[in-house]
Amino acid sequence: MKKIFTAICAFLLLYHIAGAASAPQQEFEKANGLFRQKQYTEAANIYQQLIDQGFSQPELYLNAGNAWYKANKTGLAVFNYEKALSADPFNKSAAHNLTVANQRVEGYVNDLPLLFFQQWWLHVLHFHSPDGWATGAILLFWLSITGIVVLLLIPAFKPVLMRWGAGVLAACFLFYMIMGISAYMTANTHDQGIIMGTAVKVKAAPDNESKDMFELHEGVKVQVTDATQEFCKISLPDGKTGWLACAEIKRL
Amino acid sequence: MNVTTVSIRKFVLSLFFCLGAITCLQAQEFRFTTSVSSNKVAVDEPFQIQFMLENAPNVTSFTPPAFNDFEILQGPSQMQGQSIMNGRRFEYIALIYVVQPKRVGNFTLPGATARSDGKVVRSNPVTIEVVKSNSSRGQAPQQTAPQQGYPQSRAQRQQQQQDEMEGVLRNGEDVNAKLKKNIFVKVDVDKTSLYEGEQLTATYKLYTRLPTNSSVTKVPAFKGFSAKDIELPNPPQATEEVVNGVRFRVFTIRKTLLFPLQSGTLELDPVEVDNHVRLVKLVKNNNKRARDPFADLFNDPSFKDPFDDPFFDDIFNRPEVTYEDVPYKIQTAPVKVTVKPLPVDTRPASFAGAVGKFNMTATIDKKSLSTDDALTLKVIVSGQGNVNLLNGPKVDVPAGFEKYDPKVTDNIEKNSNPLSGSRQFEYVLMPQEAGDQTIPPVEFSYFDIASNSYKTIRSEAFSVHVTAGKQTKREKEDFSVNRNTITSNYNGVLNWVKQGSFLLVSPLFYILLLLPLLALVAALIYRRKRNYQQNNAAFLKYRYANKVALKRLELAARYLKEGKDKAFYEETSRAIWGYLSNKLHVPFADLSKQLIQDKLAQQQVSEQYTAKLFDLLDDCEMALYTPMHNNDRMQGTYQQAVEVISQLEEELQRAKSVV
Repeated sequence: MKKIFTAICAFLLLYHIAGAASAPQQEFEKANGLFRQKQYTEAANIYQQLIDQGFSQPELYLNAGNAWYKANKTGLAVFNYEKALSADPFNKSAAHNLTVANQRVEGYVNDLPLLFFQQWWLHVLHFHSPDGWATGAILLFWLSITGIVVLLLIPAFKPVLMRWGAGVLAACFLFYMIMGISAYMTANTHDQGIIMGTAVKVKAAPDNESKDMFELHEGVKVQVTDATQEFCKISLPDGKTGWLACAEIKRL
Repeated sequence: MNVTTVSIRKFVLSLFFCLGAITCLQAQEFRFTTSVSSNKVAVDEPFQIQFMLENAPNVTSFTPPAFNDFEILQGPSQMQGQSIMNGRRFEYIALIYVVQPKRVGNFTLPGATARSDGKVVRSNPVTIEVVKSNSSRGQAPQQTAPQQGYPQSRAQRQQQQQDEMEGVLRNGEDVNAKLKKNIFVKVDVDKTSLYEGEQLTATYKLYTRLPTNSSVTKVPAFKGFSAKDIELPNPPQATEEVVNGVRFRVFTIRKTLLFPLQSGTLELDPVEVDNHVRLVKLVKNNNKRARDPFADLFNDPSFKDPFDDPFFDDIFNRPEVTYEDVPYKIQTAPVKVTVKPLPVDTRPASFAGAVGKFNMTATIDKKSLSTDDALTLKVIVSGQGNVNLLNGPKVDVPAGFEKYDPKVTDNIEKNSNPLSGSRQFEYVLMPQEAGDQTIPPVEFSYFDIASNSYKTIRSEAFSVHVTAGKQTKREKEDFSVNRNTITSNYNGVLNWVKQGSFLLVSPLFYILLLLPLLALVAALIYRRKRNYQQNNAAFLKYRYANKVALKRLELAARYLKEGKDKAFYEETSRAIWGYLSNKLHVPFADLSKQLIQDKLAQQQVSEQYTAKLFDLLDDCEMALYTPMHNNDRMQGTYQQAVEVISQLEEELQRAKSVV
């Protein structure tokens, strides 16, 4: 009896795991179907649910952006394209669709193009995923430690090779560690945001009474430089700064 | 009277002689005119009548008219002269009477007759209006009473007759003086001091008593004003107005509503009118009344010809009439108007120049619309005042709307005075975003002349519900190929991995990093232990080298007592070698004299000890291989060995401390 019960439990668990594994793909395909039927808002909502579950594939963000774009929600479309690009900066589709979506953004200010070393840095940073960098760092650490141990315990065993090998491995470990930390920092900074309100007044000071300086429209990407409980200080690529309600910004 | 006639006769005869010589020289224009100093005189007021003969050849007789209703106070006095103007001879003879009317009424003095060059000429008749004198006011009621008794039609007819008579130019009348007296233009303003923007009515009027064909040649520009003309009936209608007791026909040339645009003293420009006045000239028909001139000339002037009466002249004996169109240009006197500026202190922000009395309504055409539609905000300002100059009230449209310039429609009442009507402003508002929007109240301010203060009218606020429309704004659309369409979706299979917490911040990462470190530590500990063990054995050997050597030497001493010399030397040699081996960390097998020497030199052990050591070692070797044994010598070797070891011990200790 007990055995049967255990078997059923194990079966249910396995089934659940298997079902959970295929469910996102089913949802994804369902949303793609809705998109093809031009039911953009419904499709976008399904994509959004998948994103809310914690999936962060650039393709998922791209599809969600497309759906929001078609549903005339420019702000959300820009947000999703930006998300896709932050996960994969070299995604051509996302970059193209972002420029298309930005055509709809009123008062869109072009981002400054990246300098060559910034490009290189971006390339290097996205050579591995943040976890990839961390794993690499661990492996290299292990290898370099192994080298050192061998050097200590068996001084006579190819000491020159061991010494050099351990040194190079340690340097690689440091590099991977730094890149891993950078990737982690990059993935976890949310100092940029997309304006979600159709027309948001940017104020001179963080309170509702202060005077309006300018207006931002849906879909504009802003840099958040400071924040209080309710208000965020933003700056634009063209140098303008001001305060606006944090609720109007969706942080990237 | 007889005396006068005689003197005239003498005068006329003498004229014949004077003029006879010069008449042949000239054929100048002949004129015989009568002029009076005033057409309108009071009873008992003396006035002058002048009969002037100009360029009359061969004047043979002159007969003055019968002054029936007048009393001759003085005259006739005569004047004559000549002048040359522009090379033409000009000659005149004037006879002047000063007369005084006897009665009140209208009298026509027929012209005087004269015989010139054998022909009888006659001057123009003159009509004189005699009114009651100012001094005798007591007569006035008597005088007016019968007048009122007349039927109205008759009085009018009489008046008309009089007016018509003004158009008659009598002989001797000065044309310019007559025109000046009977035609003029005047500008009437309803006020001369007013506020900026307040209405001022200016009326230009033509006063005339003469038939005239007038045209306005210069229209005032009204600098500093905004003008709005009132349409006048065409053809112009005459009204009657009495100015200084004289009845004039009045034509309104122009009626304008003026709104000063600036403060200060402004001047209304004059209007200029060109008149062509048709004057009637009376010329007596001589053919009809063939009179014997000499009868006239020589008759008793007191004799009254019944046909000389002016009434008969008019009715039965109408004079020949000639018309003359006299051009006459007149202009109004300039009028100055003081314009006060509107008070500044209490001026509301929404004031935009409206002066008068106004009302405002503001409406929107729909309360709910989509972003594809347009909203119309209609503001109607109506009332009295400078309606034609109204500026649209400022409409503060929320940011969610795009505002276009208002469409202005005027509905001004025609010929209203004061100017009244309404002006409608239609603001087209395009909603840009969906949501509930509030259009703030429309505010309109004006200056109320009556209360001398600013008044503000405010509409209520409008709330509008805007729904999202189908069209979206695409400002910066790039129309190159494939630049404005998004790429298709990704439809492949994804690797559905959730991004959990990052490995970098997970404990596993640090555990994995810690593990090799632990291994490293373990390796270090192991190596240290091993090294310690190795190092410790050498140390003990070194430390106890002296003791070991001494033990061996004790054993050697026993062998010495027992007389086993070979064993003794063996033991002594071993003690020394062993000692050196331990002290110099050199394995026993590797020891050689050369190595020992080097090592000791390295440890800075002085040469004499080294030499002693080698002597001892040589002795031992010699003794081992040569069997000549001597107890004393063995005793000496023993003593030497102990001495060398202890000395080396000291020396090494010293060297170590130095190092």
